[in-house]
Amino acid sequence: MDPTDAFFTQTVVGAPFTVLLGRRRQPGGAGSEGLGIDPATGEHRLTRLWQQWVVLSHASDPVGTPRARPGRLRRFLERHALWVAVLGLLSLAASLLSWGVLLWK
Amino acid sequence: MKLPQDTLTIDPIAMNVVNRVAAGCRLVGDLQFDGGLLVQGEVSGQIRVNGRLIIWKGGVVRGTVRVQGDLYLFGQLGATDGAAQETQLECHGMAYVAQTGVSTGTLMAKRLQLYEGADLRGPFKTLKLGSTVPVLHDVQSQQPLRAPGSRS
Repeated sequence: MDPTDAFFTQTVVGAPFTVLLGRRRQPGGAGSEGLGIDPATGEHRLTRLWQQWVVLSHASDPVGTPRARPGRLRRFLERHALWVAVLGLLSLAASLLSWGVLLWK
Repeated sequence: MKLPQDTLTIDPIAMNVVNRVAAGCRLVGDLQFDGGLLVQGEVSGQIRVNGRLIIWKGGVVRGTVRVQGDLYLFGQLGATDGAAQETQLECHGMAYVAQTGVSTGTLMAKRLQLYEGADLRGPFKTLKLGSTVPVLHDVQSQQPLRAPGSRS
């Protein structure tokens, strides 16, 4: 798809968005989850559920494939990531300042 | 234990969904779409989609439909009080019927993923692998037949 097609597709059809599909009717796979290691090659990679939880970027996910909706806590943290970062930096600055004051005295 | 809910990211460019029937539009007839199709209005007739088909909430698709890619059903497939034979959808990928999806027609797909709340009123049939082989008239319409040994 050339840039012109991409432009018109985005204009007419719309920008990417995420939609809720619902809860699956049938249970998921019975296989174990975690770190999968291929005994032949030694390659290791996280299984699907763990990858969805650990990996922050979904840019390399297969196109058009549903993924599990993040939990409430994760959604909250993602929504307020900037404030969490600011709070962390402020706490770091405050602790450095208090340590500095203590050492100076 | 409750299973987590699934989400789907619809990226029209990555999914090659280049066609859209907007809400309030109605298309009737023998229709062919190259690339995916997002239906928010109403489409009916003989429909062929060479890509993914997304039937959005409020969107309605009726008639004989052939989808080469995946189907995402958030809206309605078939008429509200129609018979299952009136609408037949053949999906050569995976059919996802979301919690808002309603199907009163006959749904045929290689694989099916149902979500809680999905309303499947019509029958579902599994497509066999052999059904993906193109039939003769499909091949003829795409490329002219050439005699063996002939040079182009």
